[in-house]
Amino acid sequence: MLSEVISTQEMLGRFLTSRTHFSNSDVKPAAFSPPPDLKLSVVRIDSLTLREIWNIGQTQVIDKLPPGRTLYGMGKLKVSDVQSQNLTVDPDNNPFYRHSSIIGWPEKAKWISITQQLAAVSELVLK
Amino acid sequence: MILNTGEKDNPITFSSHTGVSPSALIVQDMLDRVRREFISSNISFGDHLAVILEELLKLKDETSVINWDGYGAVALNNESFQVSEKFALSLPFDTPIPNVYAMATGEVVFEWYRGKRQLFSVMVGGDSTLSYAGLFGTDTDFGTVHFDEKIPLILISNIQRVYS
Repeated sequence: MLSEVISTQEMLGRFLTSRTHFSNSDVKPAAFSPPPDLKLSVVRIDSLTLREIWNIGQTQVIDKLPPGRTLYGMGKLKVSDVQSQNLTVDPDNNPFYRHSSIIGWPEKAKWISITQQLAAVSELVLK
Repeated sequence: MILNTGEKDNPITFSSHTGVSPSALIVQDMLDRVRREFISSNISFGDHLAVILEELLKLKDETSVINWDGYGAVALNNESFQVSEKFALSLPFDTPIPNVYAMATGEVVFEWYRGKRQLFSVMVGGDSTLSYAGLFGTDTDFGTVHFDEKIPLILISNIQRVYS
């Protein structure tokens, strides 16, 4: 079981569900575009194999979309990378175990800069 | 890559005094369509603009449904799309072709990208507010400007910075 408190060194994965979310070698800022409820979904991936991570992405994200959608991979980053942007990681386990939300987004004018910086520190892991 | 902000300004301009009645909107829509057709049919005049407009239309198709990203995104905002067309058509002719993508909150974003630490983006609000941000090595720059008829110079200089 994961700790209820999230550590700064824990790794998070953001699933890439659109071609605009990545280039050949980089995670793109579009991957971190905050949703309307300002709870950006990520998964706590420590101690998981890649196969287990892709399984979560497939069953919890892609399978809930209309047919034909693809899980391309993930952007991998540390909790501390998120905190550096004055954002908070809430390990809410909702809607599934290991789910977390990146919260605390400031006014919209600053979103683009934040998404650029989150993308810059992320590692691209393609499926 | 040099962007000339004077001699090569795009001559197509849009009135900021557009009407809001249903008839005015229809006329505006027709005018926009004529502009698009003119540009796409005249290669020497607006080849790269045609590419951007095509990308915008493709983006609209891909993001016109709720939850297009699997994370609860709203559909592309119509007002943002319309301002984005005007923004694209107002770019100086020698501007490098940007990527376009949609925010999960419905706004269109133009992105000039050379690498994860060498990029500049402009998020277009439906009220013609442009939120911009750039990452240039370890330097960042961001802010908000209003789009009227011409691309604000701060955006042009930041696009230049991506390619300098």
